[in-house]
Amino acid sequence: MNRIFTSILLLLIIATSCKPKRSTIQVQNMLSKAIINNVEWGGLPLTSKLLPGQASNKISIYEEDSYYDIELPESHPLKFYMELNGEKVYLETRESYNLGKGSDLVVTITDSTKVFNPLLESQK
Amino acid sequence: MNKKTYNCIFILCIALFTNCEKNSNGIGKFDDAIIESQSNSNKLKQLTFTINLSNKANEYLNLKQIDSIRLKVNGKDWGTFPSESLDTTAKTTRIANGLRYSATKINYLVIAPYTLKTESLETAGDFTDYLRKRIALSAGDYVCEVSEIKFRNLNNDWVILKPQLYKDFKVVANTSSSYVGEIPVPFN
Repeated sequence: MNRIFTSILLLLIIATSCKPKRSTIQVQNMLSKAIINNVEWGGLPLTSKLLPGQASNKISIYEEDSYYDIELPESHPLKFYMELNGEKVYLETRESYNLGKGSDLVVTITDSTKVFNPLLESQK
Repeated sequence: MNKKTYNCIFILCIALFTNCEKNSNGIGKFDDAIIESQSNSNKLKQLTFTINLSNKANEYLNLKQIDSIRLKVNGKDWGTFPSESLDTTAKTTRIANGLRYSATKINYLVIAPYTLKTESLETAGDFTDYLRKRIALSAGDYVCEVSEIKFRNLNNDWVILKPQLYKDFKVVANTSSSYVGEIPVPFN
């Protein structure tokens, strides 16, 4: 009986330890009037379009994501297009957002989020 | 075709030509990064008008150029602009108080492009404000105010007028320039 119990316990430990840790990342647009498009974090596409107030689905990332070449923990800025009245501008956040193993990250873009456009930056 | 009609056509041609040149420069300091919508009908970027200054005796001020004309549109600052310079040689009929006058009307052409004065863009809110302000005026009726005129007299001293004159104009959808017309300014 003891042998069976130990075997089950061992199997459980092996199964749990083999399961890769899942992290999630989600982005929310809290900009007034502006739409944000094609949001990405470290090359990982998060959402194609967010209206004001809208949040994206939670995107799951596992410890080693070979397709997007991500090995958590990693820190990246958000990159996106901002659109208002049909006019667009490409922006990157100044802050990098850290996603750790097994953690959940929610990034909210607000009016006070510090951003820049690399073209305008190079003209300074 | 009489001389007056010919002059009007000439002035309008200059305005349209200059308009094409200035549109390519955009309206704000950060326009290099903005992708404009092709379908957006709110494209107005420039006002053009002619202005003349006359006294009670129907004599017109004869200047090479009006150095500065401050404009407001619907109560908000549009900008400060010089007039285009004119060759008014042989038009002077009288000189008084350091100013030259002409018996014939002298109209000064003013081209007033809308200019965004944003100095820096640091936050996402700054960028949304910038995009919002790039839409200068949508189609409709507006009032333009000439709030200040500055020019130099023959002694090189500044003469400053505060005429507070109003002129209505219409913005048509899908046009980038609006001709306000002639603005006569009474001058004592």
